[in-house]
Formats: sequence, C-alpha cells, structure tokens
Amino acid sequence: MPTCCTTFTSGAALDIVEDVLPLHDVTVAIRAAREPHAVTLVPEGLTAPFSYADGYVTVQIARIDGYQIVELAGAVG
Amino acid sequence: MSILRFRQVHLDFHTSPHIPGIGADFDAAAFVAMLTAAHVDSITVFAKCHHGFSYYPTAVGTPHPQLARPDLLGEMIAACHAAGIRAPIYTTVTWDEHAWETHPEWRQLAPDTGPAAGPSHTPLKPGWKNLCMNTGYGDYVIAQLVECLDRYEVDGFFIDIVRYVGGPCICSTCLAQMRSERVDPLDADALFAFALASERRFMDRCTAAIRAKSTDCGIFYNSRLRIAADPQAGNRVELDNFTHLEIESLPGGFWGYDHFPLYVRYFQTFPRALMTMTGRFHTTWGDFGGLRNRAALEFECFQGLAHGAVCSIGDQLPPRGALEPEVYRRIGEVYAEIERREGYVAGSAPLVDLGVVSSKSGARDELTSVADIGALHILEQLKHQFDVIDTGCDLSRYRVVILPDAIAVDEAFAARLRSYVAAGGALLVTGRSGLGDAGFVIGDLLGITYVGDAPFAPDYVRLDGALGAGIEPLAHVVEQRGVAVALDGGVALASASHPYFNRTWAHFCSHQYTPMESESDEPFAVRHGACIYISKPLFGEYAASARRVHRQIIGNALALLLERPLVGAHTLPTTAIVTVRQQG
Repeated sequence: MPTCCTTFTSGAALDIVEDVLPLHDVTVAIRAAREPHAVTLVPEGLTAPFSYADGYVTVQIARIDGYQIVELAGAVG
Repeated sequence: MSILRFRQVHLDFHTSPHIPGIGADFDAAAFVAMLTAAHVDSITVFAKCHHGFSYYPTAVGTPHPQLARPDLLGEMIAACHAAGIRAPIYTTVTWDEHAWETHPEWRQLAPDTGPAAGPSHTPLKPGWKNLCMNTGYGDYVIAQLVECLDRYEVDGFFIDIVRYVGGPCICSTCLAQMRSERVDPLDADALFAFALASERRFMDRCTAAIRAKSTDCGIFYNSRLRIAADPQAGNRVELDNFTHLEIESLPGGFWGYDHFPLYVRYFQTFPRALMTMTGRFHTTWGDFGGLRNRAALEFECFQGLAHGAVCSIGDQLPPRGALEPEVYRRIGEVYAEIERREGYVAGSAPLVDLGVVSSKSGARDELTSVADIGALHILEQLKHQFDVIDTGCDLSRYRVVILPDAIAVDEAFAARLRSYVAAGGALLVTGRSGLGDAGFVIGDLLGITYVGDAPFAPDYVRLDGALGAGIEPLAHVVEQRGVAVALDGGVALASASHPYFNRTWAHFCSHQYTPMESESDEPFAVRHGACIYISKPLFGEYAASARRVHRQIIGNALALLLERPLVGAHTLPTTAIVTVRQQG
C-alpha cells in the first residue's frame, strides 16, 4: 500500500512540487481477506501497529515523509 | 510480459549540425561511472536524432557532420553492456530534419496547416517538420533499424514519433494510395482512418523487420499512447507491436500532473509492463538549463512505483558528449531510493473496485478529456481504487462501473452493461452518458426516461439522507447544465432546485448567477436497484471548479453502491494518493 503526499505551487503554465511536508499519526484501513501476520513499513523494516476487524486491517503510521510502502504480509488469501 | 529495469534514463541527443565537436569529450569509463553512481540500470541511447543525423557510421543514413567520435552509439552500448547496464536504441520517425530538407518527396503534406506539416508549420520558424512514413522514407527508417541490428547487440528499440503529428497526410504517395483504395480524402473521418491505418501498417513493417533479426529485443513505438473509449481507435488493437509501454509524461510540459495517473490506470488493463517517463528538466525536453526539484522527481518516480511502473528520467546529453554531473547527482538521489523499494513492487498487480469508462474520443492530439480528469481527481482524492477502461473491457472484474458525464453507449455496449448488472454489478452514471438520439439507451437500467435539457443552468441541489452525508444542508449550486429526466421505475434520491430565471441579456441578478427560487420535482439523482443516475455532469464540473460538495455527492453515491471499498476509514489528507497492490 504505497502512499504519496505532496503540495503544489505553480507557475503560469505548470505546477511545481518543491516541498515534502510530513504527515504525522496517520491511520488507514485496508480491506483484507485475512489478518496479516505482519504489517511492516518497508524498506525501513519497521513494524507498524495494526488491528484487524470486520475484514479491514487498520494500520497506524507515525510519520510519512512524502512516500511510504506498507506491506501487509499474508493479508490476501 | 517483458520485465523492465526500474531505473532508466532516456538520453535525448537532438543536436544541431551547426555545433562542432559532437561527442569530443565522451569518455566511456566516465559515462558508465556516472550512470552507476546514479543507480541507473538502463539508458536509451541515440542512433538517429530529430535533426536527422546518425551517431554511428551508417551506410543508410547520414552521420552527424561534426561527429568527433564516429561510433558514439557503439561505444555507449559496449560500455553499458560491460557494466551490466541495458542500452536500448532510440530512433525517430516523423521528425528527421535532414531527410525533410533533402527529400521533399518524403514530406508530409497536411490538408490545412500551412506549408509544412508539423509543430513549426513553416520552414521559416525553428522547429520540427513532419515526414510521411507511407513514402520511401518508411523504407529508409526500416533500413536504419536493420542496420543497427546488424551492427550492435540490441536490447531494444525506442521508436519515436510514430504518428502524423497534428493530423493526416495528403502527400502524393498517400493520395495515390487513397485513390487505389477508394478512400475519399475530403471525408475527414476517412482521411483520419487512412492515416491511422498507415501508422499501424508502418509499425507492422518495423516489427517484422526487427523480429527477423531479433526475437526478443524490446520494441516500443512512442508518441501514440492514447486513452480511447473505443478500443478499435486506440492502442489495444496495436499491442502485438509493443513489448512494453512507456508512458511519456513530463509534468513540466504539456502533460501536466493529470496525465500519468490517468494513463497508468488505463494501461494497467493491458497485459504489458509499464514505465513512467518524467524528465530531469524543470519544464520539458530541451530545457538544458533546467533542473527538476528533488521533491518533484521523487514524487513522479514514487508515484510511478506506487502504480507498479518502472521509472525513466529524460535527459539530453550535452553536445560534447559528457554527462552533466549535477543532473546525475539529482537522478542518483532519487534512484537510490527507488532501488531500495523496487523489490516490493516488482511483479505486483493493482487491486481495484471500480472501472471508469473513459470519455476520451479517438482524436489523438487530445491527451485527456475533462470528465476523465474530474473522475481522476474525485476518485483519487476519495482513495478509491480504479481502472480507467474502454468500452471493450471485461466489466466483470469491477464492483461498480462508472459512466462519467458523456459516455456514448451503443446497443452492443448496452447489452454488456445489462449482463453486468444482471450478474450483480452496479452502475454510477452521470449527465448525458448513455443518452442516444432516442433517449437513454440504458434507461431501463437507470429507471428513467429522457425529457430534455435541464431547464436551468446553473441550478441548485439540497441534499439529505444518505446522498447528503457530510454535506451542509444548503442549496448548493451546480453550474453546468444537466439533463431533465422523468422517473420510470427509479426512485429520486434528490431533486434540483430552480433559480428565478436563467441569466441572459434580458434579465440577470448580481455578479454571477441567479439565486434560488424554489425546489422542483426535477430529479437530481435517481436510484434503480444497483444503478444510480445523477443528472448533472459532476465529473467535468469537478475538474473545472473542484467544489468539495460535488466530490462528496459522488462519494456518497458510491458508498450506496459499494460496501466495503478497498481503502476504508482513514485520516489522510485530500492530497494523499493511496494505491493497493498485491504481490505474489
């Protein structure tokens, strides 16, 4: 589950990406057929707190600096 | 499906014959060291440029008149291969200035764009002029491809500008062929179809010539990827000629930031590996003194990776042949991060809930349609997972199919939509989608009949119930004209409210549009089983004015049709992009 966050400024004919604004304490729920056996922020290798209920994995991510891949290992059966 | 390298450079080298010392400073060891330090694992290098000159000792074409190293191409390929770097070969079709100057009989002649077809329109302005691939020029290009295959170990070909840029050709070769095929050049549609057939025939010829010498090299024809609602008009029927798809999309150029995310969501429905191609330039190709912001280059490459695409960053080699160190420092900063992540994306496939039928016609100089952009913005901001599809796509893989604003539905497509709904699928339809000469072709699915154009524009809508969730109980304006419909089995979820009058020269009120007078019974949204119809072109309107309420209406309608979307509750901002992919 990769995410990208960005902001734009612009010139007359084009949009400009210049800053990476971090996001803090993000929660996101992903539909998953099975409870994953691990939820990991990769490639950092950090374990992310998660819960599994009602067919959704709800992941907490402390900070995203522009981009983050979240690996839900074994979530799809 | 070919497996592409993840960290590529597309090295332009369109170099004027008036510049001396071409390649004089090229040093193979330094070239490869720069690429390796920048984590580059594939670089597309030049056989022939738009100026029409070759960078190897060609017997077919013309070497660059000021080439200091006779086989610059060969030296680059050998050095890259020795370092484990792939080096596909670039060549160009429609733009070749040297051929245009020396072979007038090869020039494209356009029906109505002045003395020279192509971006410059005239030889008296700087810029590219078009050649016609139906003439002997086509043979010339193919002979150059074969020559490269005979001379080098070819990883692949990037064959550029395989399109009659700006419109069809009426050169004497084309006209003679039209005469023999009984094509009327005064019939614009027939002329366009002839040009498309010419392009496809040329690709078939190139592919056959390449495959006679190499069974496995990559082949990509550039400048012709287009979303097309009609699969016959687009790239789907050409796919045998492509080993992979390179989505050229430099956001600092005319592509902007909407092009890639739309295109990748369409071309991910093709059984081919995808590439996102941005540039190191601040604007676009040829911006020698422009350096892309690091955050921009990261965003573009990471966005590509989030969609499973490999990355390519466009550069242009300076005339003397030495790569610019600052450019490769910037590329390396980003590609180091891609290298750490690509293994988590390789071999993955998108998981999607929604199929959005594109409203993009086959007109090929237009890259996107307004309704498609509105759909992209709305669905991406709502974190929905979706494909952009054409009317030939298999609908059964989607939980909801969306027909935004103005999707033409013929009887064959209507029958497929009926089967899809009968099998448990859901539809969200807006505006004039499905509207034919005799009313709604899929009125039976939508539970409505056509009355006419909506009487007022702008008008208003006040929402309650599920369709109004999260929306302030105000009479919210809808500026673009919708459709007046009558219920025919459907249930109205909301009705339009009318202003006192339409704003005309004879009567107007205040700065912009007329205030609301009263509620009406003109349906704004209608539910009929698993189908919801919204009578306004909200996707196109959102692309224009981005009113949050309009996005929320679409979101609420989708919530009624799609329980349990792939991305559920979240605390992400509107601007965050989420993609969900499955690996293995």
